[in-house]
Amino acid sequence: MRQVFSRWPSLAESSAISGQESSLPAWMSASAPRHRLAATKDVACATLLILGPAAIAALAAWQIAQGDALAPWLGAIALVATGLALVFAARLMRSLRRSAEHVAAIFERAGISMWREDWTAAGEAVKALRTAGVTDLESYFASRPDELRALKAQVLIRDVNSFTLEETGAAGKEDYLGPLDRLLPETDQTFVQWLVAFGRGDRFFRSEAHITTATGREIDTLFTAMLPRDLAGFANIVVTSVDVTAYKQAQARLSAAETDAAKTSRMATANALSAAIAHEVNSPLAAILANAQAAQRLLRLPQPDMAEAGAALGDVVSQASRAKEVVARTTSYFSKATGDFAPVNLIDVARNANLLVENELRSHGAVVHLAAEDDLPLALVDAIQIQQVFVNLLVNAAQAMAGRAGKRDITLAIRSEGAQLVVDVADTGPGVAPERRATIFEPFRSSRPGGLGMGLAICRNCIDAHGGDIWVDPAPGGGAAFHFTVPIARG
Amino acid sequence: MAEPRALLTVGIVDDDAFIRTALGRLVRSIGYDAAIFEGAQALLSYAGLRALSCVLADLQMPGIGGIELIQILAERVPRLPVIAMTAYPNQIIRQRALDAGAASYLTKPFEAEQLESCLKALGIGCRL
Repeated sequence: MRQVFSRWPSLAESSAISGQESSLPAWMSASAPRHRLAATKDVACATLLILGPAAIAALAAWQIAQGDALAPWLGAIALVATGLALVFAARLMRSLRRSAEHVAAIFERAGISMWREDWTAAGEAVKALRTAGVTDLESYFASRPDELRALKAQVLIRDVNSFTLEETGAAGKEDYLGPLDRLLPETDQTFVQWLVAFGRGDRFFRSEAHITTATGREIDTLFTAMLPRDLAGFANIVVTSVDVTAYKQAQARLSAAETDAAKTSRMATANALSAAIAHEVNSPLAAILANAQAAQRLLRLPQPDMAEAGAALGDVVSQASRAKEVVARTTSYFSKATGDFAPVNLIDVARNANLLVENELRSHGAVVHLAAEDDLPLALVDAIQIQQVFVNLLVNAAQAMAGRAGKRDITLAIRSEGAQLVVDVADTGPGVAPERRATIFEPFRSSRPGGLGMGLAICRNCIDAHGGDIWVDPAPGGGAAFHFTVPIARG
Repeated sequence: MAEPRALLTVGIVDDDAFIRTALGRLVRSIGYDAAIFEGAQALLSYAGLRALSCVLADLQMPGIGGIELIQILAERVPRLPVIAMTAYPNQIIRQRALDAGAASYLTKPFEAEQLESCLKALGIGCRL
């Protein structure tokens, strides 16, 4: 079993060309375009400018030697031609300088951060790997972190524009020039995505990254680059970068507010629902209790009132049925909405769940790793329900590790076992005490202050509906490991 | 009958037929007489309203609700204590009932002993 460990979800997006995974991308075989025709033209032009006047001057000199009267005229023409050539050459130089200034102005004065980077070593490494038959570069580098780190150090920043300095408050360009690895934190996962995009032959690459600026500040950036069409192009990749730190913070605040609002609304619904159910159940219970106690008293009388006690007991029975019906009606109402079973890829479901709670996980400092088998069979599940199970388990794990020193890793593993898929969600938190393991999935068992204790009860309910099992045991690293099973889709 | 005087009568108002019948039985088994009403209107138009010792009133009723009934009774028969009942376990409803003038409050379901001590606290102990 090959394991893929990576921090995900990848926020990279690209112009991926699907279905051509096995064939090598075009840039690997393309050679840098040779401008032979343009070069010939340039030579012809220069020849005309220099050899023209020179030929005329030579002709004039020959005529002087012959004592020809026309010689001064030809000399004058040669002089004029030389002058014209000089003027032309000067204009050419000026236009060349202007053009260079123009390009520099675009690079320097554009209101966006621009970087010129040399990815030659990375391009050559990717070419070598793909040529050697490696198709899954992400897995390849996931198991060779040192190789990846070495490659990162060989990517060189050649230039940054003035706006980059303005935006980040760097003193000068030299703060940024040099190897890329200084700017990428150890947790960075975008670098490998670049290599994947190279290996696939993408036309452009865009991703969010977390970088450290020259002044030591960590920022979130959105960067984009056109990818080269040949190996020579890797020496000069222009990357634009937008600082999205403030935007992301605003987004996180908005999302937190939305989460709060949704939570409030859910709580209000739950309150109204529980009050309605309480009323519907309490009414028959009131009649049952009053009737039963009346019957007891009627039978205890010196002359027991058998008829009235009998009537009271009759009502006890009918009201017990009424209470039973209320419960049956409630459960059938809620079970109606469940069970939209279809074959789905469990990794996608886990990924969606992870995206939903990414902010909350990050706020607790938790990092999620995925370990999945290759060619994982599809699961026959209600995707929404299983997504909820993932959400609850991930949030529980993150909350259990919040505020703890050391690593806060959540490892999510999916593997097939017989007719089922087994999912493990292991954390590096304090774990679950043995005496709590049996009852932890019962409702109202929260160990968190203020928690309702429905999260794991909901998980068990969802997994029960799939005919699966859910249990908890100690994780190898000392935390808690929750496991659940769901059926594999047949056919 | 050795007892020459009539039993104290408790008025019971509840729109749930099974509950009012059951409470009637319970009240009688404790040793009171019970007058049963299906709604506030029926109680208010009852000729013997002023002869009741106490009223046990549900708060959630169609038409004239429990709170309104408590207010009307507080105005018309100020000496008549009202025990409010509800199947909603909610502090706000309880406070509203007490503010409207209810003498006491019971959350359904309640035990016979709770009702008994409630009636005793109101000074209308039975004579059985």
